[in-house]
Amino acid sequence: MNTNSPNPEPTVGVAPVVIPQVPATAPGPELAPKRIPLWRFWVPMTLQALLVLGIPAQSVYTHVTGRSVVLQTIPVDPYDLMRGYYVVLSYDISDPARLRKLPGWSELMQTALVPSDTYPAPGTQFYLVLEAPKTQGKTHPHPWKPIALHRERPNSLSANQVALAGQITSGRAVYGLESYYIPEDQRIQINETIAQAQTGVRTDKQPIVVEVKVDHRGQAVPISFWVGNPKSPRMPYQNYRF
Amino acid sequence: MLSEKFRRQLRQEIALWQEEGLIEPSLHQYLSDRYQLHTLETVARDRFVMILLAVGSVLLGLAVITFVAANWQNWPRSWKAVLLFSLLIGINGSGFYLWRKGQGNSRRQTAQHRLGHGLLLFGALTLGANMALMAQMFHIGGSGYELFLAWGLGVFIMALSLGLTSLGILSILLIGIGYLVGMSELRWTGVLNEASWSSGLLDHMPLATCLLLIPLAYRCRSRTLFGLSSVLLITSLEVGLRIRAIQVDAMSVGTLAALGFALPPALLWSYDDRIWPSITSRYFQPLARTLAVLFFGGLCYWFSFRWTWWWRSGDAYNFRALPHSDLTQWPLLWDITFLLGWMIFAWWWQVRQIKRSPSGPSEGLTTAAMGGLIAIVALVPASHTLLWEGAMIPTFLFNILLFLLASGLIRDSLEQGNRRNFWFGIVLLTLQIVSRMLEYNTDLLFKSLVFFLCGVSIIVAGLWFEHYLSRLNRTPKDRHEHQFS
Repeated sequence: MNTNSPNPEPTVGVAPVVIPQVPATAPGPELAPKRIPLWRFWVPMTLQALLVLGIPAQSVYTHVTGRSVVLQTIPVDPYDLMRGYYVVLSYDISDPARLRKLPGWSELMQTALVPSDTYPAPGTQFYLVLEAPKTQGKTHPHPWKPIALHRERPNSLSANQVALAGQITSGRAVYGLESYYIPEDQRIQINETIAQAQTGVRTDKQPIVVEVKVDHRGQAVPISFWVGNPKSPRMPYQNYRF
Repeated sequence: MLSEKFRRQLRQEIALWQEEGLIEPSLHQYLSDRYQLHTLETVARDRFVMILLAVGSVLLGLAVITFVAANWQNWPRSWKAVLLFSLLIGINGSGFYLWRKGQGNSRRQTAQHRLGHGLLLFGALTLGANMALMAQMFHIGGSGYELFLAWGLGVFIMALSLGLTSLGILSILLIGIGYLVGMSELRWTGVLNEASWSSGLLDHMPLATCLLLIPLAYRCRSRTLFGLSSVLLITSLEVGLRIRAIQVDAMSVGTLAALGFALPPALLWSYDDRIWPSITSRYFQPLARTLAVLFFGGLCYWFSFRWTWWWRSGDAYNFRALPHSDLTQWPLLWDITFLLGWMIFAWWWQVRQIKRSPSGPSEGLTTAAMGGLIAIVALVPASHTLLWEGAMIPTFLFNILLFLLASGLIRDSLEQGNRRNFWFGIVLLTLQIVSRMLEYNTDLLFKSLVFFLCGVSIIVAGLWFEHYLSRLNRTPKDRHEHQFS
């Protein structure tokens, strides 16, 4: 393999090269090809740039147009939680056992591979309707309550409701809100706070709540989360922005 | 490119020839100019400068990265995004301009060309870093395979546009990694995001390889790219047939196995560059045929083991069914239709070419033999799932096929004086004998006898073949165009 030239190997579809009568100038492969036009670089470069910008585009859109919703996470073993550089957040609504009680579950179950299955087919997409809490907490916001499931995006929602798009994977429901990359300088501090919040220093064992933004299509991005901080009575809850 | 060593030796030799009066001074001058012997001294210096440049730029890059890392956490997200983005454009842009400016013959231009090429490759790696960091900054927890596929496609576009083999290889490797990671995720979790672009690409990888990567191989005129694309095509076809089946009853499994067995060698063997309107030489055909023979040999060897046939329904053979059984929803439908159509067209083309060709009979015989073997390979699994209970008949048939292939290769190698075919045939034969002996319980004395006979035969056959070759070379005759090498 020759990596020095765009034409490293013999030409396709061209007759064998005839040795020129005039002395060739170079023994190497640098046979002075035509100059490549500029668009040959700038068109793919633009496409690459769009590819890179396309990654946060969805997230920025949801961030700008979305509506704030608060979700409750399930207490997780902090040692598992903090492995590596990012947290895998698991929500109340990630557990299909909790979703099962909601109206609309039977509609989802129609996709099950065999009638005896306990979960819908992996890959099933759905919308979860969440309702705002009646009261607001003093130290941290109260989580929204799941009230119904739909296969299609519901058209009529009251003002205090949003529809969040999710997907069933093997034994779990995912919403695209599961990863949180922890900034390096806060890693130890966040780790400790979460560990204390969840290892029984507080008897009521209040788990973490996460604020997310949900846009009109049901796509969501995480915004910030609150963790109980038993060490400081003045600020019993600490807020971290994503 | 001619090696520097050769040019140095040539310089010594032609000086000697001139002294001995074998060549005129004008011819000496002509050769010196043609091989640029006067630049030999500067080449070493240039190389040293290039190494200095490379080491220096790596250190500079490290300095930038550590500086950024030191302040990374304190910077707002938008700064980080702008920095990453401008790095991507900057590296690629400067790489391209240097590479383009260096398309001349002077020493300086060559150095610029190389530096530019290196930067373009570095830029392709930066694209991946950009995408990964961007996803991390915005807490997007996508699957790894999507990153690899998107990255590979980004590099592919650049490789296609500039016709750079190195970028092409990188892009095929990235797409291949993305494919394997995605398919293993699918295999274990059973989930793909049905509506997303990436699941579509995973399902239609055979089609995507034919329509994107094979043209890239022609654009870059690279056999390496053609070989890698073919491997990806065959891999994706086999994996897709295995884990994206719509039904796993006997009939379906038989059909899928027939497709998986016969389609790859049939496609590869019948491949002819001249099918394309503007191409007149068989540039990739020998490689395609080598791959066909390798695949066929591997297939026959694998299925010559008895235990590989202990399946009649898909469950036993890890076929995985989709939740629906409607043929129109089969993810591979378009790919298989396209490949089958292509295969039929290519074989028709082969037959037409052979009829016209002056060396028709001999070439036709090899192709007809290969076609016959492929047809049998397709029929055996199909009828196995429907007609025969035990593993005996298919095992026996595949052993015969393996033997036929090995002896066909040896026969072909004798006719054409092709050393590689001879050895591949001998290796297949020996593997077959040794495997059968170990598979079926035989006593030690017999084992030792088989090993002894195999060893003696290989040595005798090899020595005889070399002797035969040297006699063949003394009476040179036309070699056939279609040999595997």
